[in-house]
Amino acid sequence: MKTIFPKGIDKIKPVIFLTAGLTIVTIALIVNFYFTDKNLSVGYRPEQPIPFSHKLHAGEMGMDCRYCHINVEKSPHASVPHSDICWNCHSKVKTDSPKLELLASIQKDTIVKKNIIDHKFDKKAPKVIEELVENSEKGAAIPWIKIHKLPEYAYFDHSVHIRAGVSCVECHGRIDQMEVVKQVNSLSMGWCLDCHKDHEKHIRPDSVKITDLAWTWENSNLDKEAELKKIKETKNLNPPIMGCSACHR
Amino acid sequence: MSQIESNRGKHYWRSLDELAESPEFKEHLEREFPEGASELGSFSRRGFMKIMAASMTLAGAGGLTSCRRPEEKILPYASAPEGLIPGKARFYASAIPRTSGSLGILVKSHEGRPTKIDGLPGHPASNGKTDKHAQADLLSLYDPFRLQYVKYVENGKVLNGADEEQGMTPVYRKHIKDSWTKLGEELAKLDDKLSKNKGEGFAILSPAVTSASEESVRAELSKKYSNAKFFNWEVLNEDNATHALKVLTGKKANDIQANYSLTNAKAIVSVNADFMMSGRDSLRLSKEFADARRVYVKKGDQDALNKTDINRLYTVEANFSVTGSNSDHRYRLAESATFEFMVALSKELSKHIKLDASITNFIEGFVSKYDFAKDALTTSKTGSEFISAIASDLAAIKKAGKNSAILVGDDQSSAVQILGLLLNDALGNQGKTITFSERSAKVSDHTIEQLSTMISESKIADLLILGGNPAYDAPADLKFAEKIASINTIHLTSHFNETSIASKVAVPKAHFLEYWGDTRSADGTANIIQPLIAPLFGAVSDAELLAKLIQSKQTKGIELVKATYKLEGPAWEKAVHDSTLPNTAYKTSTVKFTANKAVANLEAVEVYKNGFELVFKSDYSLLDGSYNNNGWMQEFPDPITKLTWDNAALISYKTASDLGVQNGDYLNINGKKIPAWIVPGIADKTAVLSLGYGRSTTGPVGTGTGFNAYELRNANSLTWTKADISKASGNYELASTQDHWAMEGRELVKDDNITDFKQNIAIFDNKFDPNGESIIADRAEWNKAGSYQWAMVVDLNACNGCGTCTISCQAENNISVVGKERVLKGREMHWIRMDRYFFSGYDTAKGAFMPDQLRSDYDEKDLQVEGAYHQPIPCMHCEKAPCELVCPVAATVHNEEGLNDMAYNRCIGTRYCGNNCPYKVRRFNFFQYQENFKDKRYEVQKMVHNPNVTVRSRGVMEKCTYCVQRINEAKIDAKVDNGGKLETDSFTAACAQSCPTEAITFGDQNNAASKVSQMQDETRNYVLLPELNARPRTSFLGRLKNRNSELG
Repeated sequence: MKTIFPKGIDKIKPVIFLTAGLTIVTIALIVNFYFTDKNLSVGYRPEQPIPFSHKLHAGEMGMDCRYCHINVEKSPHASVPHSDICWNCHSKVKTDSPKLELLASIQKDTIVKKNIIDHKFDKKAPKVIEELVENSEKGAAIPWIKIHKLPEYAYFDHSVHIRAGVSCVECHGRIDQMEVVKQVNSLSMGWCLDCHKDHEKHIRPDSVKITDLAWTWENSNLDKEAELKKIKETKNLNPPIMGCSACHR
Repeated sequence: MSQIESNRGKHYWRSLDELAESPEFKEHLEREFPEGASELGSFSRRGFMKIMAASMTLAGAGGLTSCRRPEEKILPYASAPEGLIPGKARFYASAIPRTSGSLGILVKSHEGRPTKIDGLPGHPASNGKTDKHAQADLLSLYDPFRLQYVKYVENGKVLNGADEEQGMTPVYRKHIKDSWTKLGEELAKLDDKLSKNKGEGFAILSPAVTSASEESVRAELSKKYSNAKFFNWEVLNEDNATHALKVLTGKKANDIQANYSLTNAKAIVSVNADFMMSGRDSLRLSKEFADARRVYVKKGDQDALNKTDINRLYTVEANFSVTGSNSDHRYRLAESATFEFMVALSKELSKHIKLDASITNFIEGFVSKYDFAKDALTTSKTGSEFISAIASDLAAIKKAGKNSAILVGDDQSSAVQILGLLLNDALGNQGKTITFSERSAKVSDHTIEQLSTMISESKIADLLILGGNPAYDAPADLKFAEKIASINTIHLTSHFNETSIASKVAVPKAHFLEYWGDTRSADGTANIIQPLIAPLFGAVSDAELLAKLIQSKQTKGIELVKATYKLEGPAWEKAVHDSTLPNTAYKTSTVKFTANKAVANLEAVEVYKNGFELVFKSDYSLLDGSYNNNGWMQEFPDPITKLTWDNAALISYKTASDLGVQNGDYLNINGKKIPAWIVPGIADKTAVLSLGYGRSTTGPVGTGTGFNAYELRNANSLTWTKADISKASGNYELASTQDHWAMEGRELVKDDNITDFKQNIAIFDNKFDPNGESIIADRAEWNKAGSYQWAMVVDLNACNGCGTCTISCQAENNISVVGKERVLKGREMHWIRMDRYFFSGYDTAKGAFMPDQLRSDYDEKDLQVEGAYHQPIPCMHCEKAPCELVCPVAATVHNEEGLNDMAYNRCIGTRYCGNNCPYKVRRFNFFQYQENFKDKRYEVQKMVHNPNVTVRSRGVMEKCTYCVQRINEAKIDAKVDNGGKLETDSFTAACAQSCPTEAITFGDQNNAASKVSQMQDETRNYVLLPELNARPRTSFLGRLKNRNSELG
C-alpha cells in the first residue's frame, strides 16, 4: 500500500509539533487577552474615573435609582447624572475624600464660571476670569466610561419600557449589589426579542416600585394572573416583534 | 430633431430626449443607474476590489486590535441647563430676518444644537410652513467655510491668515481671539476720527433694515456722526413697485407697500410675477392660491362637485416659471414686450370698464405711435384671443360683484407696475385682493449708483458694508469692486466673498441662530430673534457691530432689543417665547391714485423689437447667490430645468434650432460664453440666465459652479438687456436630473378640466382594476389588524412643485449631498424627488379637451408647451412591495403598520430592491458620502445631523421611511404621557409639515377621522401603476385645470 505521508515527514515532526504547540499557546493568549470578561460585553467591568459604588448608594443607603438617573421616565436616555446632582450631597458629605477630588475640582470651577456668567464676580480681576473662561472651553465633565452600549443603529427608549413596567433589573441586573458596575446581559437583538416575545415574565404592576430591584413575582403576595390581566386591559402593551423600524431607523 | 417633430402627439414628457426617444433616455429607463454608475472615478469597481484586497492584507496585520471593545465616554453636564432632558428635542420660536420680510420659525434643538427649522404656526408670513431656503439655512449655520475670524486684507491678500485646517486647536482659538481684539482697536480709532469730523466721508451700505433695534442704533450713530450717509442695495428689491406707488399716490414721508391677497380672487393675471416662488409674500400667496383651488368631493358625490368653484390663473411671461407651470393659461412673451402687453390689456379692458381719461389717451397715443395694428401681440390669433379672453373674464367677474387680481413681478419696470395698479383699482380690487399699508421702516433712498459716484468723486473715505456682496452683485458698469478697494472698507459678512477680498477688513456676521435681535415680517409684524447656539466661531450682528463702532454703552444684542421694545421681566419672557409681537402689523390705508401724474412715466418707455434679449431671474436654488456655498441648495434640482450645481442660458426649442445648438453647447452672449439649456415654453429670441452662480471668491461647495450673470447686468438693465447671441465653440456638461428615475411614460400624472370633471365624476378612477377587485381591498384587510396604518396622499392640485419637501426631507433624514460628478451618474440621494412633466396640449384627434392653443403663426415651429405638472415621489410603501421579494437578506420587510422598513445594518448592497422597484424610489450609497471630507474643518458640519436617524454608510440602500423616527417618537410620547392614545393627526412627516400649500397629507388611514383617510375617499384619488397591483400606500389626487371656455 502506498503511504499517505512521505517518509521525509519524520524529519520535520518536531517542527510540526512545535508549530502546533505555539499556535495553541497563541490562541490561548489571544483568548485570554481579548475574550475575557473584561472585554466581551457580558461582564464588561471597566474602571471608572471616580470609584462610585452603586452597592453603597443604591443598596445600603437605599437611594432610588431615579434620584440620579432623573430622565429615565421621560427620555430615551436614563442619563448619567450631571455632577451637580452628586454635589447636592457631596458639597457637605465626605468633602475630604480623595476619591472625590475630580468631582470637587469640576464643581468648584463650574461655580466660579456660573458667577462670571451671572456677573457676580469682581470686575477688577479680569485676568483670573479670562483664564477660567479659557479653561472652561475645554469642557469640564467627569469622563465616565460607557458600559451598556447598543449599536448606533439601534434606538432604545428607556421611558416607554419603564412605563410598560419593565424594571431596571431586567436589563441591568442587581446594580444595587455591585461595587463596580458590570454588564450582566448580552443586550443583543436576540436577547431583546426573547423578552419582547415573552414580555409578561418581565413586567410588573404599577403598584410595585419600578426601581425595587429585589422584587420578583415569587416573593410578592400579588395574584400574578389577575395583575397581568389588569395590565393587559389598561396598558395596551404590544411590544414590537416583527417591525424592524421599531428600533432601527 | 426630426424624431421630435413626429412625436408631437404625446401628452406628458420630461425632456426633449424623452420626446425623441434618444438612446440616453432609454438607458435611464431600462437601468436603475446609468452605465458607469458603479465606476469609481477613473478606475472600475473590479480594479477597486484589487486595490482593496491589497490594503486589507496590510490592515490584517494590525486588524486584531479592532476586536477589543472600544472605550466610549459619557460626558454629563457639570451643571445642566434648566429643563434640558438629554434625548428630548426642544423647540424655540424665532424668525429668519430677510430684507423682504421675516419668516417666523420654530427651531428644533437637540442638546443645544439646532437640527431642524420649521415654520412658526400662526405667524403671518410662514403660518407653520417654510420654503426650502429656510430649511437650507440650517446647513448654512454649520458651514465650515463661513468667515471664522476677522480677516485683514490688503490688495486682495489676507494679512492674518491662519491654518484653519487643523480645526479648533488652542493656537487657532487664540488667533481668532486676537483678530477680534485688533478689530476693537481699529473700531476705536475709526470712532475717534469720525467723532471729530462728525462722520464726514463715512457711509454705510446695507440692504433694507428690518430691525427696529438696529434702527435705534443707527439713530444714535446719526446723532454722533451727523454727516454720515446711508445707502441701500439689494439685488431682489421692490424699488420699482415702491416707485410706482409713490408716483401714483404722491406720498413721500413713508414708504407705502401693496399687499395682495388671493383668497377671494376669482381670476389672477400674473405678469412676469412668479408669486409662488419669489417676493415677500410667496409662502402666503401660494397657500391662498392653493386653498382657493381645493376641490374635495367624496367618491360619487355629484352634488358637491357641481357646487365647486375654483380660481383661474393666467400667466404672461418670458421665463418658464413655477407659477407659469401652474397656470390655467400661459402665454409666453418676450420680457421686453411686457409693457406692450399691459397696454394691450388696458386697451381691451377699457372696452368693458372705465379707465382714467389720461390713461386712455396715453393708450391711443402709444398704439398709434408703435403701430399696434401690426404688432404680433395683438394681431396674432393667440395673442389677441388671449388678451380679449382675459379682459372679458375680468370684466365679467367685476360685473358679478367679485374680485380678481393682477400681479406684476417685483422686477418689472415702474411703468408696468403703474398700469398693474391702475387696472387693479379700476377693477374694484382695492381693499379686497389688494390693500395698501404704510411701512414704518425707513428705507434709505440713496442708491448704490449714488454711492459709486460719491466714491469716484472722493467724497467717501470710510465705508461700512453690512452684509450682502455688492462687489459681486452690484450693476457691472459701476465697477464697484474697484471702487471699494480704493477706500477704507469694512465688510460685515457671513462668508469671505468678492466684497470681502476687495475690502480692508472682513468681520464675521452672525447667523440668525446665533444672535439676539429683532426683525419685521412683510406685513410689519415684529419678531424677536433668539439665538439657539453661541456663535460657532465668534461673530456679531449688524446692530452689535454698529454699537461697537460708536462705542455705545450697550453693545449686547439682547439689551438693545429689550430697550427698543421696552420689554422686561415676564413680558420679555413671553415675547421671547412667542417670538411674534402681537398688534405690530402695519396699518392698512386706502389710497387714491392720480393717474395723470403717472403718464410721464409711461411715456418714457421705449419699445424694443425683433432683437435677442437676455433676461435675469433670481435663481430658484441660490436666490441672488447668498446660498452659493450651500450643498443642499446647489444639489437641489431646479423645479423647471432640473439642473443641479449650475445655471445655464435657458432658451426655447425654436431659438435653439435657429441657433443650431443642443443642450450644453456654448452660446456667446454679449461676449460671455454660457452653455445653453433648452426649456420648451421660454419666449423665443430670449435667453434666461439665473443669478447667483459663477462666483470667484466663495467656499469649496460653490467654487466652479455655473456662470456669473451679474457681469452682464448693468444699472439700466437690471431685469433684461439687449443681447447678441450666437453659437460658440465647445460644450459644457450640465447635470440635470430630468430623465433620472423615469417610469416608462405611463399615466402617472392625471389631470382634467373642471368642467369635464363635473360631467364625468369617475374621470380620475384607476382604470386598471385587477380581477375586478378594488385596489384598496388590502387596505381594508390591513386595517382590520387594529393598529395604526400609515399612509400618504399628495394633492397634485395643491402642489406647485416648489421642492420644499425635498430639502425638508434632506434636513430631517440626514441625506447626503453627492456632488455634480455623481449627479451626472444618477446617484443623487433625495428621498422625495419632484418629477416634472411638460405638457404640450391634448391631441385633438383623440378627442381630448385641450386645443393646441399655442399653435399659431407666432410660434408655429415650437413645441406647444401649455404648462408643466409637478409630482412629488416618495416611497410608495406598497402593501405588496416588489422590493421585499428580491432582498436576499430580508433587509427590507414590512412591519405591522404597513411600513416598508429598511434595516440598514442588514443591507449588503445587492441593489436588487432598487432594480425591482417600479417607482424607482430607492437610493444607494455608492460612497461614504458623510465622511467624504478628510479636512478637520468639516467636523462642525456633523452637528447638522438628526440624532434620531441613522447616518448611512457606503454600500447601503436607503429610501423614504415615512419619517419612522417621528412615528416612533409620537407613539412613545403618547404611551408615556397619554395612556397610549395617539391623537388624530398629532404629528406628521417632515415633507408634509413644511409643504407651503399643504399638498401632502400623512397619517393613520385606519382612523376614519384622520385627514389622510378622508383624502383616500376623495373622488380624485388614484395610485401610480395600479396594473402592478403593488397596492401602494402613497396615493395622489388628480390635478384640475380651470380653462376659460373662450380659449377652448
